[in-house]
Amino acid sequence: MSDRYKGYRKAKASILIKDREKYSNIIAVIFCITIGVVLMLNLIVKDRKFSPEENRVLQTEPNFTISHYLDGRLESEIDAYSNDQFFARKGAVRVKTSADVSMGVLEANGVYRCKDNYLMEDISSPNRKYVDNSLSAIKEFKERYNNIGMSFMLAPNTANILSDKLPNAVKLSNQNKYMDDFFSKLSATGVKTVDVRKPLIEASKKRQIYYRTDHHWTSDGAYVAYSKLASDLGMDNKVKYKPVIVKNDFIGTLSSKSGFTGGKYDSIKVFLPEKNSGYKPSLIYYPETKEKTTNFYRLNNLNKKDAYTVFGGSNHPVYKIETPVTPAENLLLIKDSYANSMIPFLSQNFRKIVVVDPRYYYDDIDDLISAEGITQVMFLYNANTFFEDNSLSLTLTK
Amino acid sequence: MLFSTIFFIFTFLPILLAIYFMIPAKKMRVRNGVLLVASLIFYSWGEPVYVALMIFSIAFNWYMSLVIERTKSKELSAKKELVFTIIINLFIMGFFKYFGFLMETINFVFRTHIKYTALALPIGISFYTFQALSYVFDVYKGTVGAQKNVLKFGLYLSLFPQLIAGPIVKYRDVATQLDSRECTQQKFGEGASRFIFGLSKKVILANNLGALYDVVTSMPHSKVTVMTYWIGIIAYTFQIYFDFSGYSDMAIGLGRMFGFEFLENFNYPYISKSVTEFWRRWHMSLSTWFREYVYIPLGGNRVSKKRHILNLLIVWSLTGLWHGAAWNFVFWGTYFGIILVVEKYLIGEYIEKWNDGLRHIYTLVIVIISWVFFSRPGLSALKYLGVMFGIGANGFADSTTLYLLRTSIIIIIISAVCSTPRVIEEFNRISRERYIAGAGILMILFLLSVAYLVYSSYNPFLYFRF
Repeated sequence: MSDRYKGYRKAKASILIKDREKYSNIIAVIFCITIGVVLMLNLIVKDRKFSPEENRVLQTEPNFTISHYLDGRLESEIDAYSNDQFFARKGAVRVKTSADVSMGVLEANGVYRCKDNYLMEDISSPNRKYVDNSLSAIKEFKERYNNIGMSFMLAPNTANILSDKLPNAVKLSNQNKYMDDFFSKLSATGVKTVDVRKPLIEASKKRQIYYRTDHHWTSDGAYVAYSKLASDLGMDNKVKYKPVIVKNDFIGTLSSKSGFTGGKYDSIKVFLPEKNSGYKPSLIYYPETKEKTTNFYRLNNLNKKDAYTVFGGSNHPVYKIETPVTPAENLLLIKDSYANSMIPFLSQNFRKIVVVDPRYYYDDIDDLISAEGITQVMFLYNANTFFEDNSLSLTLTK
Repeated sequence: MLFSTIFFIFTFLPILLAIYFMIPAKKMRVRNGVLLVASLIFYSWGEPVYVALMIFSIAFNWYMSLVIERTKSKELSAKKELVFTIIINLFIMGFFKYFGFLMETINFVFRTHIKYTALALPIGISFYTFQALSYVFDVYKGTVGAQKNVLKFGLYLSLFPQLIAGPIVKYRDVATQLDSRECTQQKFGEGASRFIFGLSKKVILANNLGALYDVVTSMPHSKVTVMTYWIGIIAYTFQIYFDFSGYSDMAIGLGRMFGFEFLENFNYPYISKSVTEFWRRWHMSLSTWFREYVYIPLGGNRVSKKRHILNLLIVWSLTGLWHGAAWNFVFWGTYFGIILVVEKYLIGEYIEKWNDGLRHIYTLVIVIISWVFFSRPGLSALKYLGVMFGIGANGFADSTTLYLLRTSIIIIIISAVCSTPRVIEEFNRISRERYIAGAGILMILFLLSVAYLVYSSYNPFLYFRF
C-alpha cells in the first residue's frame, strides 16, 4: 500500500467520529422524521395553481407519460412541481431572503435594499432603438396634428430623486443624463416638455413622494408633479385637496419582486377635494366592460395583492372621463401607470379626457382623435418604463 | 437526478429509505436489488437512453473480468483480454466525451470543415468508466477476485450516491460491503449529518459564490479592475471546492446511510503548503487512481530522471483531459505537471525552508491561477490573467469593486474559514459535549439549504412596468 493511500485512510479515520453516539442517534431520528413528514405534507397540502406573490402560474401535477419520460421532460416538470408545490414555499422564500440580507446582499431581481427601508428598482438604460422609434413617431404625430397642443411629462424614478438613499457603494446609471438627452431631442419636435424633477426633489425633503415597497410615486408625489404641470401649461389649479390615508399596510411590487421584507409598510393616501372648493365630480366610462362610475378610487382593490390598483383599477386599453368644467378642452392622455394617481387632479382641467395605454391599445389613434374631438395631447410616462417601451411608436404611427 | 433538489431529498430519498429498511437486514440480496433498481432509476432521470450504455458497461466489464480471471494462468492471453477491455471502455468514454473535441481539433489543424454533431455527455461516464477500469485492472493483477454475480457488480458500478460525481470508488474497497454491511442507527445518523453538511456546502456556499463569479465574468472585459477579477476568481476557487467536496460529502453520507463506507475524497486542500501537498488533498480518489493505474505502470519514479519527468507530464496532461474535452483542461493539467516537476527537482528543498505563511500563499496563488485556466476557455483565460496582474485593467478598483466587496465579503470570509478543519473540529466537539446543540445547528443548516433550494424557483413574473 502506498504512502499516499495510508495518508487517506488516516484522513478518513480522523473524520469518522466514534464517540458521539447520542448526537448521531438523534440526527438519524430527526432526519427520517423530517423528510418523511415533509413528504406527507407535500402530498396532503392541496396544490396551488397560481402564486399571487410571483404573479405566475405554478407547475401542477406533471404528465406521467412514457414519451414525456423518454425525452426527459418529465424530470424537469417533476422538479418544477416539487419546488412550486413545496408546502412551505412562502416561508422558505422568507428564510432565504433573510439569510441573504444577513450575509450583506443588497440586490435581488434588480431591486436594491436602500437606506430608510426603501426598496428601489435599478435605473434602466435607454434602449436606443426603441427611444429613437418613439421620438420619430412623436415627431411625425406632431406634424400630423400641428394645430393640437402636445406636452410630455417624463417622471423620474425613485433611485434618481432619492439617490442619496441608495446603499453606499451602489452606483446606478445616471437617469438625469438620459432624461436631459431625451428632453432636448423632444423639444425639437415642438412638443412641450414638462420636467418635474426639481419640485419633486424639493418636496422629497418634506414628504414621502415615492413608496418604499412599490415602484410608483405616492399621491403626494403625483400631486407635486400635477402642480408643476398646471403651472407649466397655465392651467387652473384652484381646487384644494385633503389627503386621507386609506391603507396602512401596503406592500408593493418591489417587495414581491425581490422577496425583501422586514422594512416598513407603506400607506396609501387618496386626495379628496375640500368642500366648496369648486370641485366638479366626473363620470368615468370603461368601454371594455361598459362600466360607468363616478368614482376614481376603487376601494375594493385595497385588499388585493396589488393595492396600487385602487387608482383606477389595473390596465385599461382606453377609457373616458367627462367632467362639466370650462373651457371645453378634450385631452388625449397617453400614459403608463404613473398617471393613474394623477388623473383625478387632471379631471378638473378638461371637459373630456380619453386615456390610452399604448401597451394594450390596438385601435386606430387617428379615428379616436377625430371621433372624440381631441384638442390637446399629453404623454405621461415614468423614465424606466419609457426608455424600454416599444409600444408608443406602434400606436402613434399611421 | 441531483442530490441538491427538493424532489430527491423529500420524495426519492424517503421512499427509498422506507422500502430499503422495511426489508430485513438478513435479506441482503433483496436490499441490494432495491438499491440497484433505485440507482438505475436515479441514473435514468432526465436521460433514460443512456441507461442502456450503463447496462452495457456493467455486462461487458463483468463478463470480461471473468474471462481475464479464467485466462490468468496464460499471461499473454490475459494481457490481450485486458487490453481489449481497456480499449472498449476508453473507446466508449472517448466516443461520447471527446468526439466533438477531436473533430474540432482536426478541423482546426487541417483547416477542414468536416461537419459533425457533438454528443450529449452521459452523466457520470468519466466516473463509472474509471471505476470499471480499476476493477478490471485489479482482477488482472489478482488484487481482487472477479465478481461472479452480475447484479452485485452492477450495484458496485451504478450505486447512486457516487454515480454522478464520485468519489471514484475502487471495487476492492467495497467488495465485502456488497455482501454484508452494517447498518446502525448511529451510522445512519453520521451519514445524514454528513449529507446535510455536503448539501449546505453546495447550496449555501457554492451556489452563491458561483453567482458572484458569474456577475464578475459577465462584465465587459474592458471595464474590469484588477481587484474585481481577483474577487471573481477567489469566488470561483471557493465555489469549485465547496461544490465538488460538498457533492463528495453527500455521496459519502448517503453511502453511509445505506451501510457503505467510501474513502474520503477531499482533505482540506486549501490549507496545503505546497502544490504537491495540494494534490494529496484534492480529489484524492482521482489522483490515487492515476497514480495506481497510470503512473506506477509507467515506471513511477523508479526510472531515470528524464523518464520520470516525462511520466509526470503524461499523467498530468491525462488528468487534465479527464476533467473535460477541451484544450484548456489539458493545459490546466500540464501546468500542474510542470509545477510538480519544478517542485520535485528544482525548488522543493528551497520551499521547505520558507515559513508556513509564505508557503501557504505560494500554494494558493498557484492554485488560484490554475482555476483561471480551468474556468475560462482559450484566450479569455490569458486576458483574465492579464487583468489580474494589471495588464489591460481598468484601474485597480472602482465603485463596482467596492460593491462586490461589500456584498460578498461575508460569504468569502465564511468560505475561507470553512476551508480549514477548524469549523468541523469545533462542531464535532459541540456535538459530543452538547448533542442537542449540535443537532440544532445541523437542522438550521438543513432548513437554510432547503430554503435556498426552494427559492431557486422563485421566479416572480410581475407586471412590473404596468
